[in-house]
This record gives sequence, C-alpha cells and structure tokens, in this order.
Amino acid sequence: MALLEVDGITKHFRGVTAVDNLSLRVHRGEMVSLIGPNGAGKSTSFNCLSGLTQPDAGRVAFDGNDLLAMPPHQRALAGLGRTFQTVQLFGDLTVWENLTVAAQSRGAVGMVGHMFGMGQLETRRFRERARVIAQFVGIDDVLERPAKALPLRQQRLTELARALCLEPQLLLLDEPASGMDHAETDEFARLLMRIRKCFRLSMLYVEHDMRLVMAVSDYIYVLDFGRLIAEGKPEEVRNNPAVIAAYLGETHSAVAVG
Amino acid sequence: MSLIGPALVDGVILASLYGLLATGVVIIYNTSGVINFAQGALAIFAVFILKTLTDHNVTFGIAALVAILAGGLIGVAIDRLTLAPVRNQTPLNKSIITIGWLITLQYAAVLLFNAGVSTNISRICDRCGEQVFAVGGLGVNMQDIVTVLTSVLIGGGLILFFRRTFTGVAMRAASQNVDATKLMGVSVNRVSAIAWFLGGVLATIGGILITPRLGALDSGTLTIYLIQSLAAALLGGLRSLPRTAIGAVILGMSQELIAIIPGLRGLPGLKFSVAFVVIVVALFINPDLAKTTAQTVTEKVVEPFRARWWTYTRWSVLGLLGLFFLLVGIGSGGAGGWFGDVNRFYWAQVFGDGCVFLSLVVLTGFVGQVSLCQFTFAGFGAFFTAIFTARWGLPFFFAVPLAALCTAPIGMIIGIPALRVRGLQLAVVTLAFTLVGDQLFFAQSFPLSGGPAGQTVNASAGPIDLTDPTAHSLFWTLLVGFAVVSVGVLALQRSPSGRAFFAVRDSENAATAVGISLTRMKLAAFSLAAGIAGLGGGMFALTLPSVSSPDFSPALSITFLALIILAGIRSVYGALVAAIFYIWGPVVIKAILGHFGLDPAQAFNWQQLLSGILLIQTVILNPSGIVGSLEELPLIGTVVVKRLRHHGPAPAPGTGVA
Repeated sequence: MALLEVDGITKHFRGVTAVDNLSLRVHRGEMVSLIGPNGAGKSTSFNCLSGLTQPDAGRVAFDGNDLLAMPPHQRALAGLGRTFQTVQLFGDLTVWENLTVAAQSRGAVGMVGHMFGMGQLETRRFRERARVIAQFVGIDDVLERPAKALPLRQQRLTELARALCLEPQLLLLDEPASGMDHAETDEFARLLMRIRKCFRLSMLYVEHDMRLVMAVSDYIYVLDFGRLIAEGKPEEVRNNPAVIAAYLGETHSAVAVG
Repeated sequence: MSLIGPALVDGVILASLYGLLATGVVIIYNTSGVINFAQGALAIFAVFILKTLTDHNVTFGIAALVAILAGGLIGVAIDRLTLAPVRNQTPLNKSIITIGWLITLQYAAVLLFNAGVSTNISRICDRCGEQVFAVGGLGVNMQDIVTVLTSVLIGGGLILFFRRTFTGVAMRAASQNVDATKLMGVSVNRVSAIAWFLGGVLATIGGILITPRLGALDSGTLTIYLIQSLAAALLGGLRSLPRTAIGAVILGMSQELIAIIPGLRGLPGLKFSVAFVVIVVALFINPDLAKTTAQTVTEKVVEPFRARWWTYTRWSVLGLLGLFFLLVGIGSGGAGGWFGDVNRFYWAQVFGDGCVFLSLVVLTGFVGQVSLCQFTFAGFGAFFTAIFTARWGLPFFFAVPLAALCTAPIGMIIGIPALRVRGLQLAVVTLAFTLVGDQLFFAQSFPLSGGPAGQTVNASAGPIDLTDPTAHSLFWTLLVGFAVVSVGVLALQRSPSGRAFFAVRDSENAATAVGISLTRMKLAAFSLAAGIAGLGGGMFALTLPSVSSPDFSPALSITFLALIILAGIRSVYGALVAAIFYIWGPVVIKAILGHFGLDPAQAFNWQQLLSGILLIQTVILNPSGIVGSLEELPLIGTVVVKRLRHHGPAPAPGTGVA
C-alpha cells in the first residue's frame, strides 16, 4: 500500500475547475514531483492535501487514514510536513524558536503546566532535535537571528528545517527552489537527496524548475488545466508529446490529448 | 400591530443614520485599508463646533455648513498629518492611529466645549420637530423625513460618483492595487485625501442628524453609535456601498424589532447589544465577510543583542522597584508624602489595573488578537467579586479567583468569532461586545449590577479585613496578586506554549502546518486573557466601596488598548508602565494643572487627551512602545561604536558585536 493515495480529487472555484479528478500515489521513500504550466492546479492540489482548502470530491488516504476527515493541524501531526510557495515563517521569532515550535507541537505538557514551569525535560529533548536538524540543513550559524531578518535562501532552508522538526513521513514542498540560481538549485537537490537518505521520508513537490525535477524525482505527474496529462519516470515524461505541447503553449491540443 | 408600525419607522430612521456613518467608514477603508475608529469622535467634535456657532447666534444653515466643512478638514488632517508618514505600515497599525484620534478628538471636545456634560441640541431646524405628518396612520415628524431623505440622496449620489466619475473610479482602483494606480498617474495622496474628506463630511452630517434623536449629546453617547455603524459596515463586508446600506437596514430594523418582542421588552439594554449578535451570526452564515489577511501589531526587527543588555538592566530595575514598593508597603507617614496612605491606595489600584493590562499583553501582544473589550472582562470580574463578597459573604481571597474563573468562559464568547475573523474585523467585534457587557449587564439592575447605584463590595469577610482602602494589607494583597500573575505570564512567554502563541501571531498558515490547532490556541488565549482581566477587575473592585457601570464603560476598554500599545504591547513590564501611567497620570496632571491655575477636576480628561496624542506618535515613530525603546537604547550605542570604528583612526576595542 502506498503512503499517500489520492483518488479523484476535484476542486471548483466559482465555476472554474482548478483540479479535475486527480489521482496519484506516493510510495514510502519515494520522491514524486507534480509539474505543469502556471495555473495548472498544482498549488490547489497541494492545499487540498495540507488542508488549506477542502476538495469538492475525492478521497485521500495517508498511511491508511482518511486525510480529508482530519482538521489541518491534525494532518501535520499525522506526519505531513509542508513548506509554502511564499515563505511563511514566524517572522518575529528566532530561527531556533521556529524550529522548536514545530518540534514541541508533539509535546505532552499543556499551557497551564507551562505557566507553572513544567515540561523542562521534554523541552530539552525537543531542543536537541532542533539543533541536529539545523546543523543538517546548514542554518546552525543563524539560529539566534529573527527569521524575518534572514535572506530568502536561508528563510527557505529554515522552513524546510521546521518541517523536518515535525518528524514527518511525507514532506510537501511547494516550489522550494523558486528564486534560486543554478548553483543553489544543484546544492538544494543534493540536500534533498541527503534528507531522503537520512530521515527515511517520502517527498512530494510542486516545481517549476525542470533541472531540479529531473535531478531528484523518482516519478513525475504532469498537470494541465487541472487534469493529469502524463505520468511516469523522468525520461518517459521528458519525451511525452502531450507534456511538450503543454509547456510550449499548445494548450488546446494538450487538453484534447489528455 | 400597534407596536410594529412605529418600530419599523424607527428602524428606517436608525438605519439611515447608521448608513451615513458606515458609508464614511467604508469609503475610507476602501481607499486606504484603514478602519476609521475616529468616525464617531470626529462627528462629536464637528457637532460641538455647530453648537458653539449657534450659541453665538449664527444661523443654523451657515453653522451647519461650517461644521460639515470642518469635519471634512479634520478627516483630511488625520490622513495627511498622521497616516501619510506611515503609508507602508500595516492597515492594523494605521487603524490604531485612528484609535489615538478617537481618544484625542473625544477629549479635546470635552476640554474645549465642555462636552463631558450632556448638552441639548434639540432640533435641526426651529420648527422641524413640531411638524408632524400622518403617513399610513403613523405620526412622522419633519426631522425624521429630512434624516431619511438626506441619507438616501447621499447614498445614491455616492454610488453614482464611484461608478461614473473619473475620481470615483480612481478611488476604487486605488483600493484594488495602490502601486498599479500610482503607475497609471493617479496621486494616491489626493485619492486618500478625498476619501478622508468625504468620510469626515459624512460623519458630521450623521452626527448632526443623530443629535436631535438623542435629545442630549455627550462625548460618550456617540461611541455607541460609532460601534453600531462599524457593525453595519462589517455586515456589508466593508467593500460595497449598497451592501453597507443593506447592513445598516438589517441592524437598524433588528434593533427596533427586538425591543418589542414581548418577553424581551423588560431588557432595555438589549437594543445596542444586538449589534454583537448580528455580526457573529452573519460571520457564521457568510464566512466571506471575514476574508482578510492576518495582521499583527508590528515591531521593528531588533537583533537579539538587546537581550543581553536588558537582562542586566532588568534585574536592577526590578530590584529598585521592589525596594520602592517595600517602602510604600511599610510606610506610615500619615496621609501625605511619598510613602503615605494616599499613595499606597493609588499603588494598590496600579496592581489591579496592571493585571488587566497583562491580559492585553497575553492576548494582543503574544497571540496577536486585537481586543477592545478587555476592560469589559475586568468589569465582569469586578461585579462577580462584588456579588461574591457582599451577597454571599465569601472572603476576598476566595471570591476574586472565583470571579476570575467565572470570567474566563465569557472570554470564549469572543474567542468563537475570533476563529472566523482576524485583525481589524476582530477589533470591531470586540468593540461591539463592550456594549453587550455595558448595556445588557452592567447598566441593568439584573442580574449582575445593582443598577445605577452599583453593587457594593464587602472585603471584610475572612481573616484579613481589606475594607480600609489605605490599609497596608490591601496594598500587600494586590501586590502579591500582581506579582503572581506577572511571573505566570513571564513563564508562559518563555515556555513552549508561549512560542506556540507567537507562532499563531506571526503566521496562522504556518502554525497549522506545524501541527498547532488554531481553534485550541485562540480559545485558550481568549479565556486565559479574560480570566486574567477578571482577576484584575476583582482586585480593582477591592479598592472601591462599590462598583457600577460607569467604572467599566466601553470607552475605557479603548483607552486600555491605547495605553498598553503606548507602553509596550509585548512586554510584561509594559503592563506595569501602562498601569502606572493610567493611575498616576491624573494625579500628576492634577498637580500641574493646579500649578498653572487651571481646573484640576479636568485632570483625567487631560490625561486621556495626552494618551491619545502619545498613541498616535508611538505608532508612527516607534511601534514597540516605551519599554521597547528602552530595550533598543544600546542599539543606538552600537551604531555609534560601529560608525566610530569605520571612520575613526583608532578602532575601539572589539566588543563582539556582529
């Protein structure tokens, strides 16, 4: 059984069908990417998974559980970590605090307990985890700085590290390499490979940058106008005529093929 | 049937008044993203200009024109002087500037025109009130017809203006995208000035029309109407004028109609409490009303160098404060003097109100939920305390915490709409709730308050008698109460729960993505804050012989938010500074006024005026407040050192500043 099983999710926005009967699978340990031209419905599909919007129809099973029945924060606790297309950090908190917030959300001590100074042991354990992850991602030199004072690339890394602190089984990455140049993208691809190896998790990412997609994906789904027009291993997708048509702008013929 | 007819007529009139005020709010919101909380205060100020002129035998028509023009110009002044310098700040920060103007204008009217005392402005024109027409068997006087006609004409005219004229379209464009509008060659400053002029004019016309209905006008009454019109604007989604009109009609009608439902007729306060209920219901029926981005009171990015400096200084400041309080606490030099009885009483009050300010630090500073109703929660705590001590005979150390526990669930009532609305809209909802507390509970003889006479507090039960307000025991009790709450809030601030609160404040989406439940966090924050405010209210009540509705008026809740922003919204020390300013301000100002031969009885009004002005300058110059700027002081030092190192021939020894 696959870790994530999406079956026929559909989402309409005032008559526009943003996602049309999308089905996909992410197996354990797999890196899957979701690509497509602008407005193809990639981010909407993502938001349906993480809970920012709820699909109109369809079924999503995550690790055997019905994902759509869970409120958004429960999905995170169930092992679904995510990053955002436009970075969403806790700007006034330090990088360090950004990471511990995520680690701590699995803590057992409540608010009243904290007011009376409880939960020190638990906190120490979470801090240790946050420190290890910060080192792994390479942001351990900026831990004490407020997140909003960092340059964009480090903000993206912080967001990634924060998602890792949740101990996720599946990472959803929404255009993680946007705004990076070639060298940075290559470095980022290597980081993703290392993360997969060391944390033993699966990844699903939406991406524009074909360089990154081709470098790290095990399997690729291609969306256009909300519909799946192709899927397969990187080399299969690369040569698929429908995909080429969609990316070159012959959108009408692409829809006809799909 | 005999009741429904007049109620409908009254509903239409109310609706047109709310419509006028709300239209001004919506126009301003649409061009600058700011909710103008000063709309009502602006109306009061302009109406008092009108009154002063007619008192000097200027004919009504001319006086009204002058007042309307003045209202518009005040609007432009607010925009030009205080909003233009901060165009790129968040709409929430800018709206807080208008809260500063609300306080400033209201108390300027009190000081200039003696507006604190009810003043009669009986009619729009000399004979209008007397001419009664029979419309469908109902008596309608000329005044009401003028009111409704004016609103309808103005509303229609404005709709045409925004659809057909270039300026109108430019204003709508600016509301969609300021930068694009600028590129099209439209001056944003000009558009904004027009919007504020219109807003001021509409406020004044609404104020002039509303006054004869009220019979008497004082600076507090219009606050109620301001809240109603904000509610109407919110009902209309704050975007379109026709929808605002519908919102005003719904609100006006429901207020008049609910008052004639047989079972509810005995509750006069119900009328103005309706706004809160209508907003909450509307938000749940139509969640689109609440579509805004989250905003918090922003601070500057301050690198953590400050933390080290502040740690050392904090302990010395705390030590000095502790020593000072010890001296006040053991002092027995009679009534006067630094450590005398009178001062001890004032300090006791500082500790009670300090807790209310702490509740704002938690709710607004930590979790980013703007609350304009914290002092109403304090009121609930105070009335509960009064009942528990005087009627049930409970000792205070049992009654006050119990009152806090009873107030905490009331916080949930606000917490629930807060799940749907954020930022400015939430501020309006909380403001509407102050009326529920004031009108439905505090001002009524049932069930909480003793009516206008108030509810007696009896602090004599139990082993410690706190009846004497200058006694050492009262001071020490409240000091301990405040210290316990402060330490709790400090512990919370540094704990993982505190960080989860900050996470919700900084980005709700990201907080959800790391597994934080917004529902749980917000409800916890609101009930915790209500509980702390209730505790503070109960402590404050112990210093008084009895508590009554004016002690907890809606305007005070607004002042409390203003003062804590002034002092430092994110700091526990800010709460103490704010409480000291609130209690000691009038005492000090009274002395100064006496020195200059002014009326010392006006001290409270001067303090309010001062805090309004200071709030405006705080938001413009330094959003982290007084405590925040203290913390940043060494930063200035750092900058100087860096400069010297760059330009000076001999570099200063390394201080490890990155």
